[in-house]
Amino acid sequence: MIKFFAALAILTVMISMASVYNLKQETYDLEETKRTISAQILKDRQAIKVLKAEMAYLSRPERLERLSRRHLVLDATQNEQLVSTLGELSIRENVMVANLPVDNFQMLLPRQKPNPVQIAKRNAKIRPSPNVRMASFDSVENQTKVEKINKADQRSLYERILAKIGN
Amino acid sequence: MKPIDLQMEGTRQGAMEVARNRMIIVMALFAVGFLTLSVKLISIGVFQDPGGYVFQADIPKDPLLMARADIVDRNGVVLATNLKTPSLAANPHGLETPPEELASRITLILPGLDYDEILKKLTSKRRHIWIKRTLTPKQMYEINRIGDPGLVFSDAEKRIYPHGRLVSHVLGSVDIDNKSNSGVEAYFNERLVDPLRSEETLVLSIDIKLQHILNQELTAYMDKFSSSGAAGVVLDAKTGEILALSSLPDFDPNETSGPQTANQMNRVLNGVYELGSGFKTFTIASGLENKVVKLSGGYDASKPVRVGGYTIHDDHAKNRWLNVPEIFVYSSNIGTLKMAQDIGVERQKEFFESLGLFRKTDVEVFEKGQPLLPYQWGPTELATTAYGHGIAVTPLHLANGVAAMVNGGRLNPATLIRKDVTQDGGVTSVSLDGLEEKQATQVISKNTSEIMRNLLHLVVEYGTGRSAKVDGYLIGGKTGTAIKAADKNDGFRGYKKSVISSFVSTFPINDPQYVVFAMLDEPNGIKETYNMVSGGWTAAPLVGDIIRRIGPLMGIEPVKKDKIEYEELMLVSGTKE
Repeated sequence: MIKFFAALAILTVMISMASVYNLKQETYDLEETKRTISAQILKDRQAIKVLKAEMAYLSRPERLERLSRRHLVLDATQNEQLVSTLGELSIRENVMVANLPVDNFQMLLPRQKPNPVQIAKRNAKIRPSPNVRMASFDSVENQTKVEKINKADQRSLYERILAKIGN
Repeated sequence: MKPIDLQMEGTRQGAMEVARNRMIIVMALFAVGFLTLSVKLISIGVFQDPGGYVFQADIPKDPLLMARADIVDRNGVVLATNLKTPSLAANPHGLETPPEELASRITLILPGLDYDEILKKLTSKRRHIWIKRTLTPKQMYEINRIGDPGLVFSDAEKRIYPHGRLVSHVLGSVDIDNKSNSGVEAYFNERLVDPLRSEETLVLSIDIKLQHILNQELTAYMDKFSSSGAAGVVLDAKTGEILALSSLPDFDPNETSGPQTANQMNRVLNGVYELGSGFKTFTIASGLENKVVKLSGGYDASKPVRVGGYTIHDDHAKNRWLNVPEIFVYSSNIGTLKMAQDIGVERQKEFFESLGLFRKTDVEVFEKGQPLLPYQWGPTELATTAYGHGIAVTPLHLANGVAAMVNGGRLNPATLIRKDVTQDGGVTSVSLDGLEEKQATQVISKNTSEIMRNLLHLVVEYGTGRSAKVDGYLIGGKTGTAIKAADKNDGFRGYKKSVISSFVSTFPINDPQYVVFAMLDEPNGIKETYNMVSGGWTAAPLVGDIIRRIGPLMGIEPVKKDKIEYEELMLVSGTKE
């Protein structure tokens, strides 16, 4: 029994010693890795500094201008190319502009189409007074069509678009 | 531990006894050893505080120590940086290759060097001799490939200015030992060399894009009028930040060493000049602010005036009574000096002083020009300073003053450092590289400032500044043509024949954002300008070209021209040209 305990004690001690040694070694290795990484970071930052300087050198306005003249067909912006409002872009009068709810991006609304009801009314024949009875050549089909148009959505196109995009 | 039970006889028993005792001692030692280990293990495992986990991110980074911090423009473009550059030296005693062969190989790699000179160095008796400073990484690699232990590298730092001449007058330069000579480099020297702030960049108010445009246009016009120098500055009208500053001729800060040359003279910050009619802006503002004259009031400018023995003429003489807008638009010396006489010496001096014209500017360089003032303020001085003669200031004084005239009357001290606006709990604070900003002062009322804006606009629409017009923009400005005072080398006193032509301008006039000043030193007339050298012919188109380019770049939208204020005052006289 005593031998068993002695052996167990010795074994435990040896295992503990081995693990402590191992731990220590691992710590050393990590320290070493850390040192290398730190040195590498310092080296990289040095390199980044050089690259930034090179970037500034290569993007000198004078050089960019020269390259742009040679390789691009673009010219410098003129002030008439800038507009402050969307309305100024259009040559139409009374432009309608809607702001998209997401990011307030301005959107030019299309001009309202001529109202079919009004056109129908305008084109309709002058109706005689109800007292006078006249023979009508209008087919039943045609009569219902005019009624349908009358019942169609009375809201303007602008209102309908606003309702659709939700503001 | 139970003793080992051995029974022996005779002499053997004695020997066994000894052995047993020795073994007990050994075992006791072992026991002590193991006990110590166990105690130590237990103490580590149970009692010792593990100290928590240490994360890599918590460990402070090794500072990248450089001798000088970087300088960047307002958008972060590098303007000056320190780079490690290897320098090549040799120890002639440690060479393993024959010096002749080595010398020829080095001349192949470093083409700027002379073979004989290197050979002389390699065969000298010294133990350490410099061969070349600042090698490129590629050259260093080639030299290393020779593999001679007698060749040694040592790290040195070199200040690199990637933009070369472009920002030279603002930055200044450093010498070969990284000691600053001039400009921002010198003014902020202590802050730049502070090891604790080595990685904090110094952010200037300069915008490299505007700087390029200003520089390019100045160069073009300087060549066009074959003038001896040119200078220009673009100010933010509302904050006083200097967005671009150029003075020609300039220098390459990468190549400076040794004494200062004439090219290093900064005409905008250091040069003091009698700037001429630009000063009428101040006199008229002072007159309106002090209520000595109404806008529709005026003075008789029908004939030259004699003041203190001098006869003063108008350059664009109308020979009749002129109202205030006309005096300004036609740049009438007579009208302005009569107004100044009504203002009086005391109020005129007080107003000039409030604009900071009597002291150096607050800008962050050491080499700043001290204004040259009249020795005494008599009637002559009052008259001449009214139209910008007899008082010499730096162009920045004028530009900064005009900014105050148009921005609602607030004089913001001009600065080369970007103003960082931070909002903390509703309190807006402005800092300049961590320092408090200098307080702005109200010099004229908002109302007078509004009138001055419109008067400046009239000058560009109808007066001497017409060639600065840019389609789509409403520009205001004032021309200036000053006869140069003779200096010591000229051998005479008084004034020379050559002039300084300038134009100070602001746009857009409905809400001034920028003040642009440009001047040409001693321009020569050309056919295109009918040999005219005045500000309206030379500097005004220059400023127009600058505005035409920087306007769209800074996103200034074109404005449809509507009513021009005070136009009716001009038209009443029937002299619209």
